[in-house]
Amino acid sequence: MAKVNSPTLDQARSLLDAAPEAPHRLDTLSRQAGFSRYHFIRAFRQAYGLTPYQYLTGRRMDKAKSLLANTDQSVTDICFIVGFHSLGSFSSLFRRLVGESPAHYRQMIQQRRAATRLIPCCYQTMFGLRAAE
Amino acid sequence: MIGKLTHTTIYVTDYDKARMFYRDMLGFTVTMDQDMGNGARWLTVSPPTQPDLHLVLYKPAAFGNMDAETAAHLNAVLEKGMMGGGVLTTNDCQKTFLELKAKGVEFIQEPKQMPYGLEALFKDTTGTWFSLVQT
Repeated sequence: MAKVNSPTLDQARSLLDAAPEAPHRLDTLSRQAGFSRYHFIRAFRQAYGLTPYQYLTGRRMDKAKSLLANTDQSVTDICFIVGFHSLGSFSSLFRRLVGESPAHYRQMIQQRRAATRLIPCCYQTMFGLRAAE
Repeated sequence: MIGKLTHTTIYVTDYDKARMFYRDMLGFTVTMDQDMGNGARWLTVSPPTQPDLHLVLYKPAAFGNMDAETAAHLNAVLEKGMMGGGVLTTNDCQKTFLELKAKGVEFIQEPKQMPYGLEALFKDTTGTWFSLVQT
């Protein structure tokens, strides 16, 4: 089937990108894009390889990863900030998609950062961990 | 004035095998082994009597900065066993040769008298050559 390229689909995706934490409704997104719910899901998946729900979950997880890595906010706070209403479903989805629990992910990033501080610049540059200055 | 060499690179094709070889067969100390994501590790080992010299066991392309073509060239050299690692010293080449051989280290030359001393040659798990010289 030919790939669907529609400016209205791009707009829908931009909405998800701009505020992944918002309570997006499939009805509203489909209507704004000018599709039925069924066709919106199909066209979105054809265009971007993921259903709108999968895409939104991915963006929420990206945001959660960034907050876990760069802030000291609690996992519970981050769960709500990125748009989930249940810590249990956030944690199990995070574990499924990222491969680690949120707390372990944060710990892993901190360990890597601590290790990176001990790696000489020549290796960091060679490994692409930093740019040459 | 330049001081000591503290870090040098030994290319490896398998982190776990290399770690096992340098630690359990050569008796080196693992000074760092940190998972850096996407299968990359910052894995360093030191000779038992030289804790300030770190061999960086580096797997080509494990880190994002090496392109696939460069990694393929490097791996081809490694697979052919054409990479030299360096020279390690011992106070008894024959004894160390027998000890390492018993542990399963692959020698490509038994102890042989050279102008600078008794020398054996072995390979690490990647195929990189090392000299073992009696001093």
